[in-house]
Amino acid sequence: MKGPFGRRVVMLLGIYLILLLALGSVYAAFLGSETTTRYVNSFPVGLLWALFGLSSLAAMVFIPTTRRRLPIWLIHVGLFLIILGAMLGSESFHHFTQKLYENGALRKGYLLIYEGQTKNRIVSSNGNLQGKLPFSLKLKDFQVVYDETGEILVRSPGGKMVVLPAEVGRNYPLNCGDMTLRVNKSYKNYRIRFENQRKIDIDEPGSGSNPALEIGLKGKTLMSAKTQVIFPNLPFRPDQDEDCTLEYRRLVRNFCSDVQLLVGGRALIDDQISGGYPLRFQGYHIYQHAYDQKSHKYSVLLLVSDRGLNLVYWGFVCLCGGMIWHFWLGGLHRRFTAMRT
Amino acid sequence: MTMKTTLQGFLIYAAMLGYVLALWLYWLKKYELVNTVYAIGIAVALAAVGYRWMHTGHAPCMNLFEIFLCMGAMYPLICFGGGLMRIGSRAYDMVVGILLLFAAGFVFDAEPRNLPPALQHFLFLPHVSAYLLAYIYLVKAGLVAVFGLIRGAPLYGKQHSGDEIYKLVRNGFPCMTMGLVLGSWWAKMAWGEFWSWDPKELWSLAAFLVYAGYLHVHAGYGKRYPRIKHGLVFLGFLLILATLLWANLSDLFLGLHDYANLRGSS
Repeated sequence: MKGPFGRRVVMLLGIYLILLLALGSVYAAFLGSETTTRYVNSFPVGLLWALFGLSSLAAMVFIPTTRRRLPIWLIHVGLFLIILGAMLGSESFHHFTQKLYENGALRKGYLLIYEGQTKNRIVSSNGNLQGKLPFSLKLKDFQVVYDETGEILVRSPGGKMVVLPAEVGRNYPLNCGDMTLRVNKSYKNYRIRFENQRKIDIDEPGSGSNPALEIGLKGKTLMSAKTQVIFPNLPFRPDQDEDCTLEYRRLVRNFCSDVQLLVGGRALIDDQISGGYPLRFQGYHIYQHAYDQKSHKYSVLLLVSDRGLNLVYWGFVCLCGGMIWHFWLGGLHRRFTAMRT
Repeated sequence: MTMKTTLQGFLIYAAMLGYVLALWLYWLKKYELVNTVYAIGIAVALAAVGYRWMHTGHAPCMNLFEIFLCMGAMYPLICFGGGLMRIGSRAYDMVVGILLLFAAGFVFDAEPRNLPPALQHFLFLPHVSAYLLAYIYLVKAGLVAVFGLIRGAPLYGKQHSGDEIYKLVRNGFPCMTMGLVLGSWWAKMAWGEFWSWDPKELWSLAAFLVYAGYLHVHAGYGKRYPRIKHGLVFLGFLLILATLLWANLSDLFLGLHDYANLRGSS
């Protein structure tokens, strides 16, 4: 099928496949992430992606310009590597290999560890045991880092919710009882002290933590202006006649787990896992996923298999390299040569 | 739709006024003044971006207000300075600049929000910047394609609209690819999967594929089928709008990218 006919067929097939996948992407956007992931792991859609990857290779065989020009070759090989890597890393391929070899790699799972505990059992999102890892993880410490300024959540009549930054010195009009709110002071460790039978609010230094926010309220419906201290998770109703609540919320900047990785009881790695900065070991990426929001006593780590990932990354390099070379550097080179001649 | 009575709002409206004045002078054919007024408008828009960056402490690319503000400064700047982007009449670029700043100034909420943990990553800025640059080139290509489809022949200027579009897509598509690749790399670092089939990801994949389709038609058939090629570029433009606006604003498409919505952070 080589020659102009083969070239035309491969080009047309490529264009049709590209547009078919574009149409499929738009349709899938309406289905939601979960349903689409299920479809993508099905045989027919997998076959379509495989066909797409193979057509990018076929272009190199049947279309001479693709074969002869290195940047275009790189773009097509890059695309093929990305699709191949994604297929090898897919849920269906992991299931297939697990059936083939009884103890294949786990695709994805969670580890819920309390501080001081060591674990190697992986569970699924619904808590079912998925398997054991060839290594264990010990949670040495878990920390939540907060931003300096938090926010005030205002729930107005009718269920309307407004979020206001808790910046000290700022005034906000409230949509309940014509009130205005002023942020007076923010406390890291709020304490009450009595001096000469007078109550004094203080921000006690040290490692203790009792975040709070002092606000001032003024309004027509209030008898007089008043000052109030509000706390996280404790909604405050400024006016008993109005269906309106205020709640102080601190904003999480990051949360991180200090872990120790053990193989055969021997500590191999001491590292910190935080949002966006996972730990990589023996074909797995280990991520900071969630935590105990009430008392910060446990951390949930997400474990994802790396199968096919290197192919995807090499594909990214080839795709971007080829594009820059073909579309930008090639054009500059042509312009430069034209200028010289 | 609300007026912003802050310094941020004042800077946006001043920049808009600069663009409107430049457009008016262009219409009056006072070309010697147009460039100066337009350049002042762009400088004020850049100051608005800089002020936002200083005020929030992070690159202003987090929500729709910040994206439109950045595009309202960058689109006219690139069209004003870049040789390649000097396609067609300046008046069209001014109108686009006004529309972008109008959205930032009147439509989207400017209340500063802290960056959620997932966005505090070194790949945040390169990923969004690559997409912003891609959108600037491809939006312009989309507009040229619309006029090409309506008039059927050369749009404005001496060049054939097919050549203009190809030049713009040739510059925008690699930026879009890099945005997609950087986003995938970042997603792998932050969420564990380089691709999650999230609605916004799917809209952006559809746009990427449509532009890839256009480039294949261009490579395979040269100057033939101009209406199909114009149609594909226009479709890509609509898909960019869907990725940027519909996917973020509609409750139909809830997903991992909700932090970019109208309300700021999720």
